[in-house]
Amino acid sequence: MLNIQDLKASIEGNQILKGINLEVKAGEVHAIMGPNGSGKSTLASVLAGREEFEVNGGEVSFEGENLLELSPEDRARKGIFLAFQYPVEIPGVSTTNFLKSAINQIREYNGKKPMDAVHFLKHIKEKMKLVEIDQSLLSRSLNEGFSGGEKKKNEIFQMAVLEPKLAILDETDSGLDIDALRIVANGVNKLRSKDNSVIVVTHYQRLLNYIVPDYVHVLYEGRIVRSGTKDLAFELEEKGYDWIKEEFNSTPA
Amino acid sequence: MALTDTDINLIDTLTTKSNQAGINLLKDFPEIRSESLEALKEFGLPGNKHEEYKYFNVSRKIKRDYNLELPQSIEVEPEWIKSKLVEDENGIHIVFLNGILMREFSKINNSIDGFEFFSLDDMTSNVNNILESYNHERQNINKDLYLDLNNALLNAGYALKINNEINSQPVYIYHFMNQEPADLLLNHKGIIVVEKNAKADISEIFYSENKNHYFRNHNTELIARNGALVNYHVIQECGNDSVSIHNSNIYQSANSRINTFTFSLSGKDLRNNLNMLLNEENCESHLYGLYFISNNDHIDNHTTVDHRKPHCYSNEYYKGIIDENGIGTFNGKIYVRPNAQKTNAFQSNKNLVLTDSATINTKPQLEIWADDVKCSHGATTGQIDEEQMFYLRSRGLDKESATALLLHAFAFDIIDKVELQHLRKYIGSKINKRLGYQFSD
Repeated sequence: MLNIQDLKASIEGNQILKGINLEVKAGEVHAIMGPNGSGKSTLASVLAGREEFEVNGGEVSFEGENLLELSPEDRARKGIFLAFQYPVEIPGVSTTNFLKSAINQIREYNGKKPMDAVHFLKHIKEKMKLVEIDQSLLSRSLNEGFSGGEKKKNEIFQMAVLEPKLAILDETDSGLDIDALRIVANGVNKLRSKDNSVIVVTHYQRLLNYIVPDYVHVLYEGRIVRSGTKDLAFELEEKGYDWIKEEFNSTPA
Repeated sequence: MALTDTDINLIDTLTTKSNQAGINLLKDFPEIRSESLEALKEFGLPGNKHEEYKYFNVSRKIKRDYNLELPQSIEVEPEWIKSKLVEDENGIHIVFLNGILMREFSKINNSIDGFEFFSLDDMTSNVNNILESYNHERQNINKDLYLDLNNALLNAGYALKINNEINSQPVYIYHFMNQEPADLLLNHKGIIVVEKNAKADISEIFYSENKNHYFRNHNTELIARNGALVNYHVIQECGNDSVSIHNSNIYQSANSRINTFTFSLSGKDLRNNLNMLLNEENCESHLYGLYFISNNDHIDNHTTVDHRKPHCYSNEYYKGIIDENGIGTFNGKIYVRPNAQKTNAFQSNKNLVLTDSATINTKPQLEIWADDVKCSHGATTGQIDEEQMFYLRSRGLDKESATALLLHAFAFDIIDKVELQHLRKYIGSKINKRLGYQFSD
């Protein structure tokens, strides 16, 4: 589904990604872990098409197509979803306000008929239950005055509504209490299927108790320095990141 | 600064034309006209050396060979008029076309209790009573040379009195301009008196076809008596080869509350001077404004909130979107006079500039002589937030609809303040059309 080869990206002259290789197949869940500043969020942003980052090497293909040539909206329409680490506040725009247009622009792009108001409402209600989110929250200005947990739940709600093929969760667990974490994880697990994939970017192993990954990768200094199964996450939780750093720094570049 | 012969000749030429047109709507108050003529002959019309008009210089345009005579017969499609009215069955609708009152398209009912409407050329004692009130109040106002021009060359107008505590019928006054006649110089004046404890919803809606050049020099004088409650709305869609100046003076008596709304949607040269005079204690004033400047339009909003007595509250909130080669000015003056203690006066101006060639000049100006007051002002000018833009696009919205959505959110902050549902819908649909906004709420 997603194939990243030797991906390099920089921002304002700082080289952040220095050659990422990663393959995500349909149905798989990959966790990307790593210390602060290792490039985890940059990777998520580059995949979603954030324009501040300059891709200066490598290739990314999504379902056989060159992802890097697509606009952010076309990536979304092809089925990529980014749950933001810091969801923006948009005064005067509610979640339901833009989701209907978003869903229909995605459908149009994929040659499907628009969803009518009745079906949209039914669809929304279903997903609201899934992430235990309140109608009143969805009709309020997006993220304005939302708690940290509400913001993240809203991200997962949008993911559930848009039903992407590949969801990228950028530190969705940060700032969540244990109840919110369970709800968020539950939402993600409901989306899991043999056709859909998830990339979970996280700093801690905690979320991975709920969203069990097939693979765990450790990102450090802009490269994936170690890959393994979920056991790797436990090892990191226990030992921290220092041993990874030491191991990496002692290897001649 | 001495006036040149050309300037004096211009005033003389215009006066002669006005006399030839044979309209003298203020004939029982000759001092109004003579004082204004004197001022014009002393100072001329303001050009770029005049502080108040340095960004808005139309002194060259006024030299055109204008027509001051209103056309006596006008061809117009009834459907054209009907399609431009606010859909409010309950409303009083007053239609002017090229300055002429079109009774056949209007819905005016003078038999309603507490409602009196007259064309200024009615010249009856009722009109004179209203003019008398105006002549008394106007002694206090800030001088403006275009207001003087309006007084000197006045060729159309109306007088309106509302004395109704129930506020059952909103009043919509339309100022339409169609293709005929070319090069009209229209000096129109509306005088509105809202009596003690009366409630009024008044809208002045300006709409012009883009075809011909005209110069509209409009003046609204609104007198709010003790305890009056007034919502006054102005919606402006002026032609792309037009000059429009609108001087509004609003006089507030004790315990009155006024909300003004100024929606400026288009105009090659459009200038608003809105002056609020808080002449007695316990007045409350809210000034809301939204301007949308695109093409090569130039739209200026100059406001003055003059706190003259203690215990008054004013709040001003203007927002603007400047696109393409649009140029705009916001100048908000707040005066707090020496004895206006316990004044609360607030002002905010926010602008979104969408292109590199768009310009906004914003100038808050507070002059405070009293010491026990609360005043604040703020102005921001920025662009569409890139983070918000990326967020919406990452959900599948294309650039155009994401932009429309964000601009809609910016503008509707002001539109939502309009209390009249029919009018809010009317303005909302105009703005949405303008923004290409197609979302359902």
